[in-house]
Amino acid sequence: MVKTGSWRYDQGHDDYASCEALHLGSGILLRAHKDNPISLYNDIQFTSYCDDQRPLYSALIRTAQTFPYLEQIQQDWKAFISSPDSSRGPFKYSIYAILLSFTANFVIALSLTVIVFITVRQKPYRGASNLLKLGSSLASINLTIFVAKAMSALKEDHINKGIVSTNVVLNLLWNDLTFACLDLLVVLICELCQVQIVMRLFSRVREKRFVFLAGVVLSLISQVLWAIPSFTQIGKNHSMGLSYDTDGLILLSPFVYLMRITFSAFYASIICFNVFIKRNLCLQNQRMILLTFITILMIFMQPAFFVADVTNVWVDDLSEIFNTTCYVGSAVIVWEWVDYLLILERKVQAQSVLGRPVYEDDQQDYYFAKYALKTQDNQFRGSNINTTNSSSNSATYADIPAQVPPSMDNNKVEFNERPPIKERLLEGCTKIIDGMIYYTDHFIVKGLVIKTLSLHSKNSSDDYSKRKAKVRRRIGLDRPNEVYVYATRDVVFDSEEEEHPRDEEEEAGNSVEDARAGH
Amino acid sequence: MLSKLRLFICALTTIAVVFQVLPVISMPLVTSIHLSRYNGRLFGVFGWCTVSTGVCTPPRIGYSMQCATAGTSSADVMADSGCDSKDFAGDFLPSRAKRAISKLLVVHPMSLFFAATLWLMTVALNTQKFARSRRALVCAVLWSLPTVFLSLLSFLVDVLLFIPFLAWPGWLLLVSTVLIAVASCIMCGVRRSVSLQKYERLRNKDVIEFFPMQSDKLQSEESQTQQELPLERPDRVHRPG
Repeated sequence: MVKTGSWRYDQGHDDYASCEALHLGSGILLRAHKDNPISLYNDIQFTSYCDDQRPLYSALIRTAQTFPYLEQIQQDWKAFISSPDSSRGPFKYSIYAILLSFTANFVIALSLTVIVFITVRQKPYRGASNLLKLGSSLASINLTIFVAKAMSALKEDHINKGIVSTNVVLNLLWNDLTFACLDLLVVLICELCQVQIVMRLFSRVREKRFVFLAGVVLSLISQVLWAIPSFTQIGKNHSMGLSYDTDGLILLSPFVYLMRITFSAFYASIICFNVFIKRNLCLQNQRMILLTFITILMIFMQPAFFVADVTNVWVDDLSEIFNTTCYVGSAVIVWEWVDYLLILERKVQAQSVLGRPVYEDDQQDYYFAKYALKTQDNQFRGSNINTTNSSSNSATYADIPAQVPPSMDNNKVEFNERPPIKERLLEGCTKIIDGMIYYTDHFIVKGLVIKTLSLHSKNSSDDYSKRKAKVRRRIGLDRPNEVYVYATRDVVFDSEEEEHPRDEEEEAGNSVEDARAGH
Repeated sequence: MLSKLRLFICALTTIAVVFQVLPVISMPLVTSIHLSRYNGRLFGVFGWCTVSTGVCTPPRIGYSMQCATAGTSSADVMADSGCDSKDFAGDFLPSRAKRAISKLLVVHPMSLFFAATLWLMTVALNTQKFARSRRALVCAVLWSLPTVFLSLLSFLVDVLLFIPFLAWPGWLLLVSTVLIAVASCIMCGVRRSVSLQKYERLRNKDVIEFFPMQSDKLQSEESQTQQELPLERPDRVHRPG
């Protein structure tokens, strides 16, 4: 069995006589070495080379002049390749299918890396796009190393034994420490990219913050749990004699596997929900339709592989390679889709009367700012009153922002005691939560929200010069010699006779406005 | 509209909880409900029974190989009942999974606990006390996320162990997951609506109160100023709430 720590029983197989000792009888001429003479042997027992008690495909070149295979070996080989799926004899379990799958995965990962470097824009999500580039590059490097190692192992087998074994490649996949380490990093980075994608799909700041915190924590937990059985198994294979809780590891391995499937199902459902609610944008043009189709295909790849896995062990053996490609694909393609979708959305918003939607979360800041301005204004007015009317009452208005804690009681003796443990714990927890929210807001949420506004900017130098020109035009620096002179004029209304206080107020207001315009 | 949505959420979670109860009370608790039938054995969350003799294992997490007769409380090993202590190896579970993996069925009662708590929350949301509470809605939304996660996980565990012989109580879990997910989405919408309504109420008032510092004199002073220059300083206009 290749995957020694598997949570499934190995599939049974038939017994093949050629893998046991074949009695060839007497009268066999053999030459053990080219320097020794040929000898006659009376009783010969021949054992064909088998891999895990299964016949192997011989990679030797056979011509009409070469000796034929033994009849028993030929019969066993025919029985092996025509046996039911459970004994892994048919063509789909052969080395060709495995070679095809991992080289295809390698090519797909490489193509996705090229796509990331060509199409994904650096701005406005600099950190996230760099993370995506790092993840896809690491995946490509990992698969390149794996393909090179697998080819080298197959070449060695061909030269030394004249056989091509699938188990060599599968052993490498499950027991290679480099592959496991890089794969762990790639999946973690891709999961973090998925968190960023989901954050971009939510508009409200609080929701973005929650998605970030929950996503990062769950990604880390799933990767740590995945690392425990994987690295323990690799350690066990590398250093025999160490004892491990096998039952616990067997239990943890499928649990983490199911956890990953659950997360990918969550991710797929969030994307599908967004496809549904923004279906008009998704079906707006041909490119977007194609991109949406590929996105849906990519996000359902992992749940689909789960279904294939529980019905077919062949996929289970190669699931790690497929996993890497699925994660990279579901991060890169969906990122591109979200990018394009948000651009279309902003175009629609720019053309509409109402413009960009503003949520109550954004308005909280406005409300606080207004509160602060009002407080400042009152303070200013209070100080004015203080200077003009030197009355003692006015001092009460001047002290408006004095939200100081009540003065300490003079009769009370206070010792420099440490607060109780409960309070200290509460304070510590509050500090941790505040810190997390601070870093979330600063590095992720605020960056995303603010930079979203300059989404259409592609080249930084062009963008800077355009903005500069716009500002110059607005404040009139582009036409310094054109001077306009305004004259004041009194406005007389017909309804002047009507002595309505409201009209008077309006008139007063208009005259003030006119005077301002004149200035 | 919001009250109707709350009732709808409650109805969805009620159905979801009922669908989660059925697999949990399967073999050996209720003999007519089973998660899978394979090679003359009926599997439930807490144990398994043989079809021919009707003998079940004692209820526990993870499948044991020791059988107990239905009438006796103590474990009684029966060699001829079909569930003696021999190991079935690869033939025990339909998906060839190892017997130790059956301990993962513990997610079923956990999922039921989370779903039942969510159901209680949705019932509470229909009461007058919590109907407009943003905090209660946020709590319910946050609680629904692990509920959906565990529900989906328990379905996947069933698929992993019993496919291709998974019986209807196992598939009900998928329906339950979808129902809880839909209820969660609607709850998110209700939370947004309630939050927006509260904000709009606050905004319409547009009266910023200086609780510890504003005296009556200041208010009168301000109203006087408004009368004098109502349009010069529009930010000082108090709109009626």
